[in-house]
Amino acid sequence: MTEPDRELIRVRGLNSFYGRKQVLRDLSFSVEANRIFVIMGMSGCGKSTLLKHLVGLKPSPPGSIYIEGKDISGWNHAQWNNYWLRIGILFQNGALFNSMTVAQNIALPLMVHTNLPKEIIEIMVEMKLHMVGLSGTGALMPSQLSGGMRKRAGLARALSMDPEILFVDEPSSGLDPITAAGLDELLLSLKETFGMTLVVVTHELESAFRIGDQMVVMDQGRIIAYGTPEEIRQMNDPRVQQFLSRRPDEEHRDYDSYISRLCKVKRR
Amino acid sequence: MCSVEINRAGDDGDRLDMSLRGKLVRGEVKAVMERMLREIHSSSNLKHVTVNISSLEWIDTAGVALLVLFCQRIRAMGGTFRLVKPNEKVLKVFKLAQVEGFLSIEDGNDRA
Ligand SMILES: Nc1ncnc2c1ncn2[C@@H]1O[C@H](COP(=O)(O)OP(=O)(O)OP(=O)(O)O)[C@@H](O)[C@H]1O
Ligand SMILES: [Mg+2]
Repeated sequence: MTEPDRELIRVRGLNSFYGRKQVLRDLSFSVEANRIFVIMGMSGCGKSTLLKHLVGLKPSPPGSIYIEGKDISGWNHAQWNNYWLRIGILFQNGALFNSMTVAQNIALPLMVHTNLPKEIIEIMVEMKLHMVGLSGTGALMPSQLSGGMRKRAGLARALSMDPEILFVDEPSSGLDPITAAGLDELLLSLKETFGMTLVVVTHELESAFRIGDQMVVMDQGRIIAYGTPEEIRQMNDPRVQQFLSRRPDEEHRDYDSYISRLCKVKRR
Repeated sequence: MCSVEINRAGDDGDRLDMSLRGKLVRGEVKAVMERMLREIHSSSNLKHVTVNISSLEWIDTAGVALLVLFCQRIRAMGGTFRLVKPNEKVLKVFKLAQVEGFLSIEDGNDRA
């Protein structure tokens, strides 16, 4: 358990590139312990990339990300391993091992990293499956699950080690509204019961406002809004209002460059 | 740390009262499990087991799994199992794991 109000993650001026293409621009925010931090924004704005930096799957420039006050860019192997044992990650695609059953996928971190007896691990796996609403599916292969079920199995695996910090990328994609609402309840109880800190990427507005303590709205690699749900709702920024009201944006789709591309195609 | 205290009672030792103290978490579970199972396997006529957890400060899901396993084993031997006096934080974990019914949790004021 971690005490609330403590700054757990601090991001300062984070820039990120794939090759020469810049996808994150000057991001700054803080994630407090025992809170749900929500990252929102349109498809392609850089949410998953930001998550990759926070979990150490993409290297961060010095001085841009601090975990418990320590700059992660200078971490050695042991420090990363220690951090990875404390966090759980649900990837956007679920990322289960296809050659293992669902139960084996969830048991794997416990088998590798703990001395827990097999009987205990089996019970823990059942418990985690039950939490995500997948009781009785342990013997199935990931290929036998629907997209939404695979997502929830991925969440069960992310929870297997009782992480202090849980990172989840689009937990409710592919879920019907009732199952999605159940998932929101689960995320809230994880915070409440275990004092967990959660960083949740979503583009479900309703869910974001239901679970978020703090949130950022991103647009093309930048943060355009940062605050509590109440603060975000009251922002006048037209891009934020547009995101919240979900009006399709003519400009955003960049018709001019689309047309010029079409012209190029014709000329060939 | 998690410590286990054990008291045998009842006619010809058919009752076992245990209490758990401290934090029953992942790193402690293996040792505590061995201690608890040794105790029930060394008795031939065990009928009633009560585990008092009023001094248990915290539990994680590995700890909950241990209590579930222990309860299963005792019932499989034909005995009764009661878990008494969880604190509020521990009770919340049982509720999230939805095991409070299975573990026959009691506040324990009347019988303990
Ligand atoms: N491995 C990669 N190599 C090159 N470019 C990438 C790579 N991954 C992502 N990008 C680009 O980076 C930008 C941000 O992608 P990212 O996956 O972070 O967006 P996102 O906000 O998670 O989108 P979505 O909501 O669709 O999941 C996009 O323009 C994408 O094309
Ligand atoms: Mg993404």
